[in-house]
Amino acid sequence: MIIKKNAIIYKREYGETFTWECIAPLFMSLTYFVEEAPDEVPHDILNTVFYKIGYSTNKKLNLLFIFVTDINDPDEIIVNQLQDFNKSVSALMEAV
Amino acid sequence: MQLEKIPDLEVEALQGIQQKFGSQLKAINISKIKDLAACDVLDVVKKTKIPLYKAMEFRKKARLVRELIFFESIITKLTAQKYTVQQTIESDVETLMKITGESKERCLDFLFQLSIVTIILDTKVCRSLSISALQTEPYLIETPLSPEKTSEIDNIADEVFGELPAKIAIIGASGVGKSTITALSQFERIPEKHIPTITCDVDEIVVGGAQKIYLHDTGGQEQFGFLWGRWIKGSDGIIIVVDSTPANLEESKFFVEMIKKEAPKTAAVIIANKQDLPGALPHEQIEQELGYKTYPMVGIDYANREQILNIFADLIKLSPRLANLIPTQVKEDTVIKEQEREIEITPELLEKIDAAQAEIDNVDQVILGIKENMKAVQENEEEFRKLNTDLIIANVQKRRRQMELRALVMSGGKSKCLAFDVHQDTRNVSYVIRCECGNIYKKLVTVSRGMKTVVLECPTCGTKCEVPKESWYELYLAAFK
Repeated sequence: MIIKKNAIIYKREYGETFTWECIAPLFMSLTYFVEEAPDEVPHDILNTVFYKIGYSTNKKLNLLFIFVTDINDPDEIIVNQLQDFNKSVSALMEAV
Repeated sequence: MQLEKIPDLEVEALQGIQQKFGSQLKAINISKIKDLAACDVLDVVKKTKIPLYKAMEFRKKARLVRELIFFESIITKLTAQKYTVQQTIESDVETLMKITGESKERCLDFLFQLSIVTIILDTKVCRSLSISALQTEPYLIETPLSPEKTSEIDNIADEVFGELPAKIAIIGASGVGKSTITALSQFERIPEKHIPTITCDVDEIVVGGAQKIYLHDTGGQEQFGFLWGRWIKGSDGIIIVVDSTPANLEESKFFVEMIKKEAPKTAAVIIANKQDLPGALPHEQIEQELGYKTYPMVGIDYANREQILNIFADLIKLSPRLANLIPTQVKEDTVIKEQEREIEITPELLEKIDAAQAEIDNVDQVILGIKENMKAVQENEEEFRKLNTDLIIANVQKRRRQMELRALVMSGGKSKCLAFDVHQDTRNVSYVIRCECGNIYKKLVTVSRGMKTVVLECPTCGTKCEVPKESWYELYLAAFK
């Protein structure tokens, strides 16, 4: 998922298990937090009961990348994929 | 922001008139305004030839101006008496009549108009407050990008997250064969006696040669029941294993209910295991009772490995491209498994592997160089063709070396080197043979039902090699021995 300011500009779901309503409030808190954070957040992972929520920012473009995945997924893979996604999409957005 | 754009004609008109006339209001010929306010619009249209809607709008504004002038005259009188708007609204008509000297109808009209304007202004204040609240509160709104941009990001997402392992939870009562199913899918030694799983085992398997799957083999004992809900919640697919007995069928209804409650959106299937045992319920009956698609299974038979992988593929909606590779994967795994028992990794073998890999790397470099040259000489057709031929040859060499390396590794260094590709759809089989003369050659043969053997001839020395048609697998094994 990609959030720009407080608007979701891109959302993609793999599988059908994701319960959007359960996690939506967390996204709002995350948006607030990232907005207030003075520095770039290359990557961070939050653990909830059932999901891992990885996020990464691009403050220049005001973008927040969120990757919700299973609690059993290894952090290393999540971080790599999140950073790759951030890098590729940011390059695409900057090219516009 | 859209709320703010909703036209409020009355407020806009009042504001517009105030802005437009403002200080000049008193100078306007009141009689003309009054005339205009009371005019017949059709008459105006006839005389002026302006459109009807314009005339109506004009008359409406004139009426508002007339009211405004009237308002202003009353407000002037009220101000002289040090009356505020709030007091005016709260005062009764008679007080107002005394203060302003206007008629009862006019005063009633004034109070009515004043209350409307107050309500409108209050509403506007409420609206602006709501809008500012919406802007400051964390309110996520979906505003998707253009379809083209979304599609481009989709491609990036598929590329980045495509290799993400899928998760399948295997649940069921104790002793029904969950660990056996897991072992079968992994091609591991099938347990001969029941060893209960403690909490949950997480195993990784690969389906179709590329798609990773995490299998959550859950403990079926009731003491771990508090974990079942958690395991199924994060899964892409759920498999309920039943042992096909009437007692277990009843027991398994609990798991069906649990899925409906904890993960209603997740795809689920049932494996009716132990179909080889006497008295096993038919899978159709189990499907009817539990309401999920049910596959019959004998988990202790390795021959069912392909079927179990296909069930996984169906469950996670594996792409047909990868799903079609499952039969080949099963055959290759079978060969590797059998060879692994005999392979002894010796220093000599490692040396050979390194040498073959280095050769492949060298060919890769040659290919890279050719590609760069091709870019440079693309305009010169003849030279381009020549380089293109070189590229094809280099690629063939690379493929040969790769096959040789593969056979070398699989045979523990003892192989005469042989490999094959089977194109099941067309019944074409590619045989790769290392001839006695040392040459390695590949030949594509279309096999038919009538054929019993395939004859392959070495293009270098002409030595013929006769291979039984259906025995490429045995040939493969024999070559290693």
